[in-house]
Amino acid sequence: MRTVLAALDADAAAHRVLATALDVGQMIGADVECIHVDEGAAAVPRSLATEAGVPIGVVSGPVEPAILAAVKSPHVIAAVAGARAVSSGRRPAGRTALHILERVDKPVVAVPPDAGRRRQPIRRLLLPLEGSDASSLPVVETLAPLIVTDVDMIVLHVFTPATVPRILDRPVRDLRLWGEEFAARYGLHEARVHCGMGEVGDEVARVAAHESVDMVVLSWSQNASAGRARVVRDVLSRSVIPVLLLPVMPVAASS
Amino acid sequence: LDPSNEASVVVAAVDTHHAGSDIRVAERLATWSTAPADLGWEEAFERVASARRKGFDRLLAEHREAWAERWADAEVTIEGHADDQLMARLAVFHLLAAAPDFGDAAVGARGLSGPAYGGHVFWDADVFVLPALAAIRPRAARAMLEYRVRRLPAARAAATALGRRGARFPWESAADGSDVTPHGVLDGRGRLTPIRTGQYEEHIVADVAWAAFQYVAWTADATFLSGEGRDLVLDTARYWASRARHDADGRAHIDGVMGPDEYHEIVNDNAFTNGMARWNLRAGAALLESGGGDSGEAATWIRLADTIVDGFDAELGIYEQFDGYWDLEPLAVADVAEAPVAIDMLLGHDRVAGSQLIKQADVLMLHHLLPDDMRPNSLRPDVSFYEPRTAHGSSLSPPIHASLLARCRQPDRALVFFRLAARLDLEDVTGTTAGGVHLATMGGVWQALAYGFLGLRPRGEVLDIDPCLPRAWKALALRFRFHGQPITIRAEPGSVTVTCEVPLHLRVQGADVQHCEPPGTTVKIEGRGT
Repeated sequence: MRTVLAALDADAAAHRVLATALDVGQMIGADVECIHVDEGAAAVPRSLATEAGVPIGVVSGPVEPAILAAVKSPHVIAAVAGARAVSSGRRPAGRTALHILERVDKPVVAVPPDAGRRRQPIRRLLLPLEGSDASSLPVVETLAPLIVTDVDMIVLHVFTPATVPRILDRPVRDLRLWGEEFAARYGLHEARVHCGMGEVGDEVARVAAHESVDMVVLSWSQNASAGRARVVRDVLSRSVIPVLLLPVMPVAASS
Repeated sequence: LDPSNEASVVVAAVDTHHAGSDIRVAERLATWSTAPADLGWEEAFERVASARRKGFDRLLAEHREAWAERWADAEVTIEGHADDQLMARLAVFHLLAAAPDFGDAAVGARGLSGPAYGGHVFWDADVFVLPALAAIRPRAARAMLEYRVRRLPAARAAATALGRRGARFPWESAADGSDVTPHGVLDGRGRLTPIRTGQYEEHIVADVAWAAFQYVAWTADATFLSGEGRDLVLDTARYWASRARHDADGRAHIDGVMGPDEYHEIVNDNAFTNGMARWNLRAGAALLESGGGDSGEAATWIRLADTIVDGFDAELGIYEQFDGYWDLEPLAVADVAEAPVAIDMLLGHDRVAGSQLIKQADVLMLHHLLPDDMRPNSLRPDVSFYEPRTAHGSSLSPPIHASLLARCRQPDRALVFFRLAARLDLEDVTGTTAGGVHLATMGGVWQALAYGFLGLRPRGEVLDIDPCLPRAWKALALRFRFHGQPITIRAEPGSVTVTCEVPLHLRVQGADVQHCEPPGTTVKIEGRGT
């Protein structure tokens, strides 16, 4: 049994989280279960889950430990949670969401407040890759084997002044060659590749809009403290579509 | 199989043997190009059957023999640095593998080693690969020229279509000789990025003719220029005669072109293009007159050649790359990044186009191709001015700089560029070697060794030698053919040794021409040639 766990709260974000969880479940061939930590308003999530035909468990106690314990269950292979309550501001995610993202050693989808509420099959993933095994292995070894539907993968590599190609004989054509080789080296032979220059967050937003991407996929080391995970923080704070975060290294849920 | 034109035929036989858990697969191929009418399937099948009858051991022996025969005329020895020798030999290996000895050899930018650019033939073949093969595998160089000769009708048609005379060879060429340069490519933003090289990089016309003369200079096969190659040279000269514009002062200009430096796309009076056109006109005139052709037309070409502006700035003592180049933002690469770098990606196309930053050797390329046509003592000032402005964003640039810096008596700096060029594919510096090796760079590597570090130049009956070795090398030796005869030049500090099988005329370090009798001679030189 493979399960995607949707962490529903009692506000409007619950619609988006549940819809995203169902889409992710479809993509990876998994059932969906919901969890709600009862703080006195369980009627809304119960109603949503019932309406969608999805089982829901309502638990009590502090939110973070309760969700972490539920995600830890062996049959749960991924989780979906709301990123934050409001779209304004530059915070990448709410405090609770961020703590969960940092502590879960499984793929977690953060659903932004601007994401759509309707279900929509996931057909196109955007994979920003810096060009290291650490960032690509989770995609190749964790995510790719889970996917059971036809999904178009788009790799995005953003050059920095330090990594810009040294030689481009015929620039646009050579960049295409470069991209094909880049994707192949990181095990993503079938992926299309976009190369960009500038800020990663800007390029992610641009390509996601241009290519009608359904979800951004980022690998990360699960450390969102100041000065760390700049790209993850930037993308989470600006994305209007769900962001799937893949842990680079498994960490203990309670650590 | 393309029934409309030429056909590439591959016949394969695959034998599979199972021996326990081992599987041995033997695959034999016969491949060649032919016109459809000449397609002989029986012959193709017989070749494969013959290979099968011979068996693996005999085929391997034949293979080794064939390679030994090729290496016998192409040996490279660099003493003092094994890696440099290995990289140089890698270049020679790919050059030798790039073209057949017969038929018409279309040598794409990545040779036969990868699919990049669809196998299209660029100036890479004529200017970078062919001179090396003319010396180390003359028959292959001749086959490369045959490729151009057979596409002369298409080049004539292209010139006619533009209202010009003569022949306009395409920037990118394939089977039928028409221009196959893409007009644009969609970039990552879904925008069409125009590719203007096909329309404006016209120096290819003169490059093709220059290659023909390089072949003759190394081989002395004068029958080519009096035979099949004659129209190739005359029609390219004819093209420039119809392409140039005269101003009120009687000076000739070539407007709206792109030189080797593709960061500046459409310019007037590009020094490289004008210089090559001038040479083409003079070479065409000489050939026309020698063959009893129209002396009036020849005289017109000579007058035009004499009036083409060459961009030389007498006050500065250097060439201006194109009209208006001096007015551009005076940026040097070191102000922005460390070369080599695709600096247009860093700064953006418009900023680079408005600056003096250049992609690759342009004026300096002219010094490399036509050293005898340049103003006296202009090489060093031009290198001093242009090298700091060159991003080397093209793989063609480093080997040319290696060659020129050696000629400028800066062999240790030359070695830096040589190594960058020579390890380009070994270390996948570009990240695109999966698309095939950079064959032109490899041709440039050989040219850097020959024209740069050994200072070789075939000048009529005389072979000029002027070595200049980096401190890291104890000796450099090249084996090649000069006027049909095998020859080895070995330079080491204090001397240069020539080994030959027939008498030769040599000029060492610009001294008087000397006669060299077999088996050869050793001539003393100053130091390392620096």
